Amino acid sequence: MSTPLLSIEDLHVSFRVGKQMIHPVRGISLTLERGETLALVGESGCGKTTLARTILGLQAPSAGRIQFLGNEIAGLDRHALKPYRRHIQCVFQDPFSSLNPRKRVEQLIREPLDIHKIGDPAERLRRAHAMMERVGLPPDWGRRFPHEFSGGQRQRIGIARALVMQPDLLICDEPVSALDVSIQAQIINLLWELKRDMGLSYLFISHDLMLVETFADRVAMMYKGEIVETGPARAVWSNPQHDFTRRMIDAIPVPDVTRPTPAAFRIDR
Amino acid sequence: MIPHPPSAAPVLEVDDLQIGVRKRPAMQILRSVSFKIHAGETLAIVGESGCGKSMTSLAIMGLLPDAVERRGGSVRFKGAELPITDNRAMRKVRAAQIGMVFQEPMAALDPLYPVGKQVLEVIEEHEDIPRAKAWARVIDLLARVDLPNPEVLAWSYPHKLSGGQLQRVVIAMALACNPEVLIADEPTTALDVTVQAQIMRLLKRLQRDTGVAIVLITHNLGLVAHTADRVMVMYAGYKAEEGQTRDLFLAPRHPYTQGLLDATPNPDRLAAGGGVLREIPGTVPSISDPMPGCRFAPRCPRAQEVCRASVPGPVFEGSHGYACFNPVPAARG
Repeated sequence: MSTPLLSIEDLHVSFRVGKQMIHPVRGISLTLERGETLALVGESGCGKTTLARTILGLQAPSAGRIQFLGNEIAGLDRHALKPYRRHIQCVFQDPFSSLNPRKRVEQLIREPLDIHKIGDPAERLRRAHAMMERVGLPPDWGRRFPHEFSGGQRQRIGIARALVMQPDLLICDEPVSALDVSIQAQIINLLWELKRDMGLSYLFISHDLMLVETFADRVAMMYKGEIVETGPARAVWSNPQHDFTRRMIDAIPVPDVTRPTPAAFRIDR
Repeated sequence: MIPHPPSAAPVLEVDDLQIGVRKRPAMQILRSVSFKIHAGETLAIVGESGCGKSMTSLAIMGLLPDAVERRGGSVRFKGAELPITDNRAMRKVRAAQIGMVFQEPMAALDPLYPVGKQVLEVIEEHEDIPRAKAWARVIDLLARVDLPNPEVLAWSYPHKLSGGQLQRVVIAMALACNPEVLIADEPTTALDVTVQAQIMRLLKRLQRDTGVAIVLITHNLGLVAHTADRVMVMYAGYKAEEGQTRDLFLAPRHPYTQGLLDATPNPDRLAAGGGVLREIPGTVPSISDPMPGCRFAPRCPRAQEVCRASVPGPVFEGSHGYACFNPVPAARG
């Protein structure tokens, strides 16, 4: 078997909030193969964002291993992590607060190339414009500022900025939950096309099991800091094994009037 | 479905409501919105950001921001016109006749006061009753929204409660004076899916017990499918389509409704060969865009010449109405 792209083993994260010690990630193990889309699904406060931050090196783990293509990256300092970070990029939920409002869009998109000193300035700008075109933004809008774009367009900017480095792994943390359903579909379809064309792998973090069912290969259900169930996306939906997964699915209103109303919504009990 | 005879008078009636930005004649937020709701009924108002659903609810509550004005139309409560632009007069209407639940319960509550005091305040604002009697009603209300240990919980500050518990407190406040209409503006959007189900079940149970009419404003079509009796779909300040929930889901006539349904993820109906969602191209037009025709035309797969030239008026087939020159054929696959 080949080395997985990302492999996490018995990862723990704990930190102090005020006087309290909290332990948001409690012994998580998972692997992501090259070309795979793994969705990490859980409710608010289950530790899914902390896990993403730890993989990105923004949060130190208290125990456990994170291997990227077989190299240990858990707990590396900024300097030691830098050669790996170009291969792992991320897209956040709120595209506005993650974009510096005082920089022009083309500057924002080429910034990762500047940081990693890839190519000369003309080459970086050319790649930024090519990436804008790839995500469906006219390259001649590059001189504009983030506030001149709609929510969906800003998320396209965030995606262009993440993909300009040609990473292997894209971590998406609730990338569409702030968007309207028609725009959500546009962004999900864009991510799907980019994955197909660029050979990407996704770790897609979401609270929306119904959404990830439409494009994820595998789903990992996270509950109170642990992965309670993992499996092919279709199997998790149609044959949930863990009580938490069943409770969540029982509470999801599927947009279909021919389907029985979920028990959790009925008052005739 | 709804226990009201067809002839019964609606409890709330919005007629050709038009709202625009003050001193900006070209900026029209609501172009024409009309609907009725009867006692015991749940009407869902559906649409994407900028379609005017929240502005509609603010107008009904008499809470329009200073920057906007009514340009026409009326809101009637049991046949009598509401003075929606008179804030003082509307204070009597709010909570007593029409209650409201907002998306962010934390924003609807004052962090400096125990939650019970805030429910008490609503009662004392509207009714002249002894403090002890009002407090007993607060405890009763907190129990009715299924909060545990209401006598103790009434003295808790908002930050001590979970999001779901806070939303129950807000529902208790909204129902404190037995309103006949409840406007719930994205009441579960900030909540986890299991908590969402609990809150919706609570609202439906309170509705069964009191006969309150619920206007549910949401973008979540799944929620609509399982909780609403009727649906009104809004787009860019006008009513695109309305009808019984079942009719609208099984045979949508407006291409925007169809587009919304197709863009909504549904694991039971995956596109063969891979999960790509059907998207609606483009974005909602700006409120100041002076386009002459249908405001959905630039994004519409069925748009024709006439759609870009004039605004479609509503067409009704029984209770099912839509504003479209070239509707989706009635018989669907």
